Amino acid sequence: MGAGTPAFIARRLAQGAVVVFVVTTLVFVLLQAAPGDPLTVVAERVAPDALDRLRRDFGLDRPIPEQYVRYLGNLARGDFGVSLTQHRPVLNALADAIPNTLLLAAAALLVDFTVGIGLGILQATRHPSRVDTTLSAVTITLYSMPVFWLGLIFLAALGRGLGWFPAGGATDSITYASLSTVGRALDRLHHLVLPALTLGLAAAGYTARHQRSAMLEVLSQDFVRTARAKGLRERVVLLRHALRNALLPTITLAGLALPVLLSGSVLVETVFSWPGMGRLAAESIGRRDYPMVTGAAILAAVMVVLGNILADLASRAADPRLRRTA
Amino acid sequence: MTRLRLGAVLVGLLATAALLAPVLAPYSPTALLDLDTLRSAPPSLAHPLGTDLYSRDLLSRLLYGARVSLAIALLAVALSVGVGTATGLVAGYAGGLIDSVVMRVVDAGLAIPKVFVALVVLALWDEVTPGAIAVILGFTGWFGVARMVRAEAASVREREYVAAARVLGVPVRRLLARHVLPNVAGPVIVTATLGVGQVVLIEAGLSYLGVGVPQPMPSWGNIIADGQHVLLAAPWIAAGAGVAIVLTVLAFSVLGDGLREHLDPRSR
Amino acid sequence: MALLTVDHLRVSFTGPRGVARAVDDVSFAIAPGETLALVGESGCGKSVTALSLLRLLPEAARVGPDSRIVFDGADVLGLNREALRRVRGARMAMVFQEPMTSLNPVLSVGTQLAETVEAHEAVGRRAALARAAEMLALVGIADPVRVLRQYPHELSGGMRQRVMIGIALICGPRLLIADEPTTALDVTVQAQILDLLAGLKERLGMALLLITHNLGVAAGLADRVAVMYAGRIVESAPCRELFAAPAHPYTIGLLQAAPRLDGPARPTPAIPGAVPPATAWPTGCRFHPRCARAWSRCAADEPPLLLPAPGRVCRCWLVDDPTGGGG
Repeated sequence: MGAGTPAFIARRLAQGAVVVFVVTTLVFVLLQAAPGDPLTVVAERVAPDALDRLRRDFGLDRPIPEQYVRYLGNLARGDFGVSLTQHRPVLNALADAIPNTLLLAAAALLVDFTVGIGLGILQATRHPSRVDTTLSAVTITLYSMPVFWLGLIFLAALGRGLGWFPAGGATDSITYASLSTVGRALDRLHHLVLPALTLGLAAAGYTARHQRSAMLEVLSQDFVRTARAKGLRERVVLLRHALRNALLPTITLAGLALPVLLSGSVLVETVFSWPGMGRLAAESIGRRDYPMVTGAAILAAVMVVLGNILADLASRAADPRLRRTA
Repeated sequence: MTRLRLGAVLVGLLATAALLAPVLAPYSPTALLDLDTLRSAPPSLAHPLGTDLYSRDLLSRLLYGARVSLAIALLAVALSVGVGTATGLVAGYAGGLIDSVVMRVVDAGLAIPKVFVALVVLALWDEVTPGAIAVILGFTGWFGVARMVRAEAASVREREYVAAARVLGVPVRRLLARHVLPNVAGPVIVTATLGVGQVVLIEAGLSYLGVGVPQPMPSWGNIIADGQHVLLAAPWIAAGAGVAIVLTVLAFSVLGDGLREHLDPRSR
Repeated sequence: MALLTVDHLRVSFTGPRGVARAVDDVSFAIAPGETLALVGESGCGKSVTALSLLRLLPEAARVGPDSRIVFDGADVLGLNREALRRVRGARMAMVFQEPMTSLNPVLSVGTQLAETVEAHEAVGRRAALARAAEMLALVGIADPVRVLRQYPHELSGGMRQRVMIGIALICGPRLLIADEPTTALDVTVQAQILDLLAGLKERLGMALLLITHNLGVAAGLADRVAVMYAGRIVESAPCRELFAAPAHPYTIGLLQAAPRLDGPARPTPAIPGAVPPATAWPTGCRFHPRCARAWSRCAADEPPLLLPAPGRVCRCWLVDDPTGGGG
């Protein structure tokens, strides 16, 4: 991957840390800017002097700069506050939920890339033709769909309707405990299909369009002509020469797609009752559990930053021109 | 028909439907018409798109929902473009520390998924109004525009005629207006158009979750949320609103693509 | 028997401004081991001619139904896909103008050389790479083993072009088509590459079709020169004779326009006017609007290829009527 890789990783991590720091500050600013006090939720049910005590405990009566410093200090120690609904540290609650979101996101990316890249290549090699135009209409419709609506369609048709897939959750609440290890893995997979398909297909529309134009661009490049002039088989020309270059922008796209994917996971997890970070955040809203919501937002940003670093590493591995400088 | 024309026609139709909702809607969107017999009624002559759980006419709700969703989206995008362009110009042209700080903020803003930002703000909000939603979405969407404009402003800064102009005492405002804005106007317009579609999707999502447009005001998102409860029994509730969203976003996507082709013939 | 015979080649493109007849009835032949230079300004159709020999034209191109290209006994235009693939790179190969964009940026030099061998011969990777190293040495690259592992962007323009030549020659083709091989290179490097081509030609005994707009390049390498203008060949002659006694006014103009070092500095006269667009070739002789010696016959009838001397052709009425209409 090039000699400068460790230095590259170190640099990107440092940059990422700066971004995360700015994120935490932004979140703090947002909290201050929102009209409403974190304690308004409990205000009705609590006596005024208890309210004052709570206010002092949370440090809400202190001047803002002091609150900020306290906030940063807490975050640095891993203290995201205590969930107002689950009554346990936010970090713990999120730590339970994040693996599920990661699993969903990974599965969705798999669907996204398989379908998206496949469609993109198909369209590019068939360009111009009716197949190409029809598929373009399909992809543009896909990414104009609200992801939660697509989820409901799958849920209604394949879940509750035909009964092929479970109607929600990550595992079967009744039988899971009594299943073997393989049985458990299959059960999880069974529950994963619909949400992953939903999130993945919604993203695949955009990926397909992107891949199609990258492929068309590459196919018109000189080196593809050289490859043909050398007498290489067409399959080699398409895969080894054209696609390897056309995938480069798609890898970059993966990095940019992460925030959108995580935004979508909030909705998909809600539709399918998937026990991830997104559903936790959505539920916490109604109960004004702001520590949970802000914790989720910050961790989501951290995931995006890390994901981008991974995408950059993948780009470096795929494109030798990027390895010149560390 | 070219994409540009098709997109323009579709968007025009949508805008007309939204604007003329009070005239076109057969009923009030919030009227509970007959709680005894008209709950979740299938499409019929009297109610072309059926009624919802509370016996409200869906066609009327969808039409008014168009008003709400489109108004929010347009306002939010206008805000994003305004703030983003201004920030990008300042950062790109000023360079140095200001540029660095602003770009870190932009990076951070782009890193937090938009729905999460909206959730953080809405977690503390008491009374959410469509205007508030528009403002929130507007302030979460300016980062991409800022980055685009900043890149152009920064590249202009490096050019020699800028130094010459400054020596001659040309005010910075004029420089930016004459040299940066024209170059950046095209991509920004395209981004804004596509952005309208994206905001409609996000707002629908937030309304679906219950933190967006508050009932009984209709938004396509909260109509779908209503429809979810009776999904198999009365699919037309969620279906109608969903199709409306798809058509709207499609319209703006096609228009955006058409504009992109028109403004930059090199792109496919 | 000729190695390559091109008969009545016509290639056209249909575009928004009409049908562009880029190559309009071109015929020539190349004997084994012979070097033919196809010379002309940009827009005359020489590159399109070269691309059609290996059927590398873009989708939009239409080859005329009467066109025939016969290479080593085979009808190139009629070959099926697999047969064409076996010809490309192995029996007839091509080197392109821009070595940077003509090489795949994400594959190593070694891979791009070896895959050519692997596509045509039943050799394994190791053997193919060994052949690649040999080829790199043959094209004058020092330290071939190191360069095998490098990527195109790490090489200089001259080295990239050497690699391209190596890729083209690695399977020992009988005909090499070089489309402006030195145009994108620095002047000093140009000379090196031309020397390389001359040397390789001798060693490998291959025929060479050299496409160039530069008469000096043609003079150095070619046995015969054909001059193209407006999609047609306007003059063809053995190299020495063409330069000693050019017959066509266009050729004369090109020679006069080339700057010379063997005399006092003088302004170089350019040919007036510009190459017309392929969608609208002039009527009559296509060169007549720019020709100093044109007369009424030139505007009315297009001259066929006439024979001013054995082994030479010239598409100009002056061959018939040296007085130029009595003027």
